[in-house]
Amino acid sequence: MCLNNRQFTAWFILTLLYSQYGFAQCTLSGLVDNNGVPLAGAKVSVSNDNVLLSSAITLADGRFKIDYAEPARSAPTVKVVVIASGYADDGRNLLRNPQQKCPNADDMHFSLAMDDSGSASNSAPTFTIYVSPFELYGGDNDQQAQEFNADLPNFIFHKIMAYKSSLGLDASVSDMSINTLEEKLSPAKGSEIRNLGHQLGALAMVVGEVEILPGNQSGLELMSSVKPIPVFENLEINTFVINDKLPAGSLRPSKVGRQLSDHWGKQAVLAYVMQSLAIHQGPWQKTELDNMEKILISVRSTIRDESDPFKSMVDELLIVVKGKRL
Amino acid sequence: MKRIDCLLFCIIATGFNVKAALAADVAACFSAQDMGGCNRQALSHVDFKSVVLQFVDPADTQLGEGLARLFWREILDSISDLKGAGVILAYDREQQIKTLLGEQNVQVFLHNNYHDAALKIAQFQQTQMAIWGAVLNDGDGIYVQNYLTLNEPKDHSWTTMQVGFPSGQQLSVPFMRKQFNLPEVVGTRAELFARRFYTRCALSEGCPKGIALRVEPDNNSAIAYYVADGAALQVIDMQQQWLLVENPQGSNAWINIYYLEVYPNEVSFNKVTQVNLRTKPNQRKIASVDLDGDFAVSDVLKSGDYPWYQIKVDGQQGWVRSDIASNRAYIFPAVHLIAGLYRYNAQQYASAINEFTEYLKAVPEEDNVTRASVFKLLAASELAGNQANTSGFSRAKDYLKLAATYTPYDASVYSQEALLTMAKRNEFATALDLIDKAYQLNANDPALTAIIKFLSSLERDNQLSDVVPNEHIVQTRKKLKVWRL
Repeated sequence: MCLNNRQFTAWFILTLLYSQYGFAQCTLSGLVDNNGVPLAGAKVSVSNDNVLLSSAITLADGRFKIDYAEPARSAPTVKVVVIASGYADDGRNLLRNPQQKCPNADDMHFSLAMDDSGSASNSAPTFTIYVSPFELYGGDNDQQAQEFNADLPNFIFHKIMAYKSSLGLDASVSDMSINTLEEKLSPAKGSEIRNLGHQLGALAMVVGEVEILPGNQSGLELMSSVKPIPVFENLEINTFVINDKLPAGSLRPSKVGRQLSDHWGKQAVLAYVMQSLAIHQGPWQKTELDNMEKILISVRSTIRDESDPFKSMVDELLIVVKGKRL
Repeated sequence: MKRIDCLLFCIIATGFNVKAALAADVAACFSAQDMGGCNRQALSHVDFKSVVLQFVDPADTQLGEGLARLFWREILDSISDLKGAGVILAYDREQQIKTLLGEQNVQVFLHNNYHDAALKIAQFQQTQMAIWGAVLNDGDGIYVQNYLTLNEPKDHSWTTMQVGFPSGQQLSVPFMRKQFNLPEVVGTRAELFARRFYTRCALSEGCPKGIALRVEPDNNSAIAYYVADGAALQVIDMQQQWLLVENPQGSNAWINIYYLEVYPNEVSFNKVTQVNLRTKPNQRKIASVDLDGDFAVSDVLKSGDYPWYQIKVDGQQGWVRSDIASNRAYIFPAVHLIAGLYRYNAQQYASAINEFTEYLKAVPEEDNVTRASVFKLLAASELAGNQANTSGFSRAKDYLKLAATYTPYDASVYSQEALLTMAKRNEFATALDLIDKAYQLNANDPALTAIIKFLSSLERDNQLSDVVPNEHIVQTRKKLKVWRL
């Protein structure tokens, strides 16, 4: 490739600028555990000067990998923080290598201690729902998309918790939590979402996208789904995909929530039952089975008709629980 | 007006029949060490009451207290004629709720910690109901999620349905849910307050200069201007107990909610005939009209003893007196449900039915579970109000059939219907089938358990024939053997 004088000058200036102000591509990886037991679902984030650069969630083996771009002119350290429900936070500052601009960090290791409440235990299951940010198409405002995705998990969790509360079984259904993924996942990638869900030990994965239609069609097209992850004795809970056209107006998370009815709550509570059955070890106690039955009967009492796919799922699970009593 | 100063989590309580602004009571109910633990009881002389807790406000919309206040005021309005009833408002000026929320997920905090606090306050204050929730950001609007939890401080009588048998035997069974997901309130701030607010003098010494609007939302702030008692104001926002009033002639100003009446933006009429539609309140008649159904209210004016509503009938705009309306719309539609529960307890069954019906109308897209619960409440009200009346019995059964269409796998619907049917000795075979159905769905349903216990005790005392017709006694004994397993 030959460059004329003007092109060469431009190339030279750009190269010079990149060397001064360019973004270094860095990668951090490592392991999060508790006393040698890998912790899945821990959130690892990296920031510089209090600006979040990137974050990742640890997989089933407790490992994480974060790729991020670091501005050349920034604080001399980056901060890595690890947060996991039921454990004390951990974090450290890493000094950046002045030549490479990335920190000198080989395989990192964070060993988290249980928090003061002692609520976490190696045998305690986590019932976490992961929400992937919804992809927004057709909008002209990134901030709008950011605000929407910032508020969305709360609305989803609200619907699930409200359903759970309405069953009047708070003491029977252990606490669920919600976690936000960094990565946008397309609802079309069903098996990829399921695999990630399995790796995370998730109760359910929530994905979706919204298309803001142009003026003359005016409205929002919504596609969203909750994919329950636990599988028990070849039973699987249905994934509901909601396709809907919403009336024109502001993009509000409540519009997504309005379409959810109580499907998401039912899915989450049934996934809880499946997960509890799947991870159970040792012989069943009568009280444990009574509790499962109570939850299932409560869910069934909220179902509206025979054709509701949750009805057959509840009936099948009740047969499974009855079988455990024998 | 008594000035309210609170250090921690405060309660304002109002009991009827006194006007909202005249009775106020303060208790500290909240600290970082003891969320929901109160230092004293409010409204101890009032038998039936609810508490509205300030909404949790994780996004700092500054509407947590204000919206709870509006909810509180609307409940007060809805039961203003009831003796022995009261409403308590629990609010937090010291940001204790926010401190305790900390970095927790708001939904976890709400359903665990805050719900626990609501129950604790309800139990200490001996209120039968607690209303609690959160206000969230929702794009360019806000979203209010709210819940009702029932508490039974003294006895269970108000949450049960009772039937009497010709032999004099009586049976009460619990039938109410303990927790309701109330309809969410969604909209922009302007939409939330888009209705007429009317000034009223709330000072015992009167308001000779009129009612003061202030530059800032503070009792010590400078006075912006005065308005006359009974003036209509357009409110555009709210902060704690202060409402921001639009002033087309100058700067907007703040008014304390104690000086305001809240009027509806929609009212209903129930087949009122030959109503005079007037050019202005108490002025010339435009037409004589029949009113039935819902009408949007475009303006409200107070004239004489009554507010007047401006409505449009058959294309003609005019004014009608407020007392001919059968119902009004609330910012929080759940007020109809709560008012119905107050009236059910007060044994005003016709009014309870009216409120429950209005609630179903106001929230047509509600979840099936709450809707079924309201039909069960309607059935209980019909039964209680018309025990000796065949048409009341039949309406109660119809309501339970409707409840069953919404929650066909809920045992409690069939238990309730079984109880109703048992009272009719000539339908006892149906009652046994309904008990069977409930038993198949949930053998531990509390209403079902009460019915089986009742029949078992009659059998043990050799009194089954007091309730069961002779031709069904053998079958009932057989069934009881199965049901008791």
